[in-house]
Amino acid sequence: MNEFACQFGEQNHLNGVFTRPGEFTPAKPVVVLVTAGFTPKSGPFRLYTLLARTIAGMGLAALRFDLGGIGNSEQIDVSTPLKVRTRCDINAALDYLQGQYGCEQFILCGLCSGAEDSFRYAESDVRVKGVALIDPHAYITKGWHLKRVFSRYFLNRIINKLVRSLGVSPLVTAASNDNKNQAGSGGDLIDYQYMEHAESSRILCALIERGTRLHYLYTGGAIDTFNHKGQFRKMFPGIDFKGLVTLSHIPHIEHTQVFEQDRREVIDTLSDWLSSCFQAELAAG
Amino acid sequence: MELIASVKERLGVTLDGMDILRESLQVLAADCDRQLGRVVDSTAATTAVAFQANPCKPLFFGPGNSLYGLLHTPLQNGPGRELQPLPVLMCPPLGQEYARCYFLLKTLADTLSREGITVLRFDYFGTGDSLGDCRQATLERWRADVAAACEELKAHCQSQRVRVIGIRTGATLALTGLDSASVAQWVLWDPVVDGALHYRELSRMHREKIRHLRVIRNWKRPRRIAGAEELVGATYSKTTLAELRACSLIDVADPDKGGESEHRNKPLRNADILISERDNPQFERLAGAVEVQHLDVHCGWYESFNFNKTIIDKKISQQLVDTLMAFVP
Repeated sequence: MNEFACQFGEQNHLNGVFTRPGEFTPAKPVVVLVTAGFTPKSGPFRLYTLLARTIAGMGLAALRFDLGGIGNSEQIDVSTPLKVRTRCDINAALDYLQGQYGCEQFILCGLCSGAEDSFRYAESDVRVKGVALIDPHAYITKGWHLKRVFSRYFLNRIINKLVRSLGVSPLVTAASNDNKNQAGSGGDLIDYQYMEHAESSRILCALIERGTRLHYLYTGGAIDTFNHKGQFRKMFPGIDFKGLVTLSHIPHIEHTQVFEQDRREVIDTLSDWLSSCFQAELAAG
Repeated sequence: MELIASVKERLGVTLDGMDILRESLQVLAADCDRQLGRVVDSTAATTAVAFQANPCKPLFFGPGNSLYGLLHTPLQNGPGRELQPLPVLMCPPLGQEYARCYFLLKTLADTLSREGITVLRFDYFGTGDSLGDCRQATLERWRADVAAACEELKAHCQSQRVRVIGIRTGATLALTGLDSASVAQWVLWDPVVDGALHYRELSRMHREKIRHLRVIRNWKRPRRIAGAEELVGATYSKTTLAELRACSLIDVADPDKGGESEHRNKPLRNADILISERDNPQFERLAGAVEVQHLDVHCGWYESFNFNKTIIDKKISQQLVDTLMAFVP
């Protein structure tokens, strides 16, 4: 495995790291990791760095890069709305890989806003053959409400409240309770608004129609909108997935995985999807 | 956060943090107008603004090209500033503390390069975009990384000496890892004064995280890792943690206590030390030993962490810039 620092886009305003397997073949698809929220290209707790290296171990190259204004990439043409700039930035990454290395097929992957940016971009570029989305849009269904009441999670919350009320193990300490009203670090900086259902349905239909393979991975961090596997089908009634859409639900891990074993679970899940859905491409070259 | 609250209070409009940080004022103003039902001047919102990207160059350097760095060089046609002779080496914190101040350090490097100063930022071995795994690293390796980064910067700028900005553990690593003859100025922001106390706080944060997540994890604790320990998203070897616990800047600062310390001659007493909060007992100990400047800004290094807790206070970066610019070689 080799890693190279690279710059691309207008005036080289975007920064990335290209991870290549020992034997690099441009005929194979390249996985492009799109930054999540405000986190730089190494990803939350280095998830993207480790994912890129695991992918390279499978024989595929991976590019992780900072979108403009995030990490080490510069914002350019700031009068253009964010969605348009994001589209241009992802396009610049794919053009760079095609121009520099001759790569023609891509798989986009991202967490949270990175997932939705990837999904949104994929609609407009036929070079994108697959998209892996970690904790993207989800929409509450009747089943979600039922599952919320009749689930281990609900029981856990009751037990947890009891434990807390008994004062056995207070969940929130003084140190962690003062995260708001801080001059320096502030409260939560980002309250990300997920994609509207109409938009996600339209893009999903277009991608399936084009034969793009999609994998949705939901963690326990998405529990406020997604809490069981069966919900996914109900979220998009009437859409024929044609066997192209797969789903993983890992309810016992959080949105940005602080524990190593949780990050490993996400990486293993995505690796399994890549090796099962892109078998022919992996064998190519 | 102040801007979000202020706009909400005055206009009744909610702006998103992501937009505040990444959208231009022009686009934000148009967004406010839209939310208020006002007619948006579409030509104004789409006028292209000429922009020259900052030439920040990424590179791999150091032993086996294992370290990822970013060199911020002054703009050739900058705003008329003179090129400053002494470049700046930025030694970042480790783990969640790096994530907290990543944005601030990047903007600080941009500001300094606009002032004519060359800046090198880098990730330690096994962290960020550098090669390796965190648990393979030792404090000794990270000290060697600081020294390698210093040499890289000196070679690039053809300078005999550099200035160092050390943040948290980065300050401690720089002070104990660099030859003081190579350093013209030390600027330390909230250095980790007591390694043992730092470790205890990180352990507490990690235990708190485990408790916080027990509901979704069905009361199952994360697996222990043989020969290593996880602390808030980073896995360190037991050796590294033992080294970290033994670190003490008090000993470095105090010649009486530091009699046995190999770092007793290091120039902590001459450093510009910026402390964010007055009421932190760790920094009080340091303030008793050396002269410090108080920023009176809350950084919350030991408060529960998530990736939205980014330090954005301009007071910190401004103070760091002022301290560097006030220095006369």
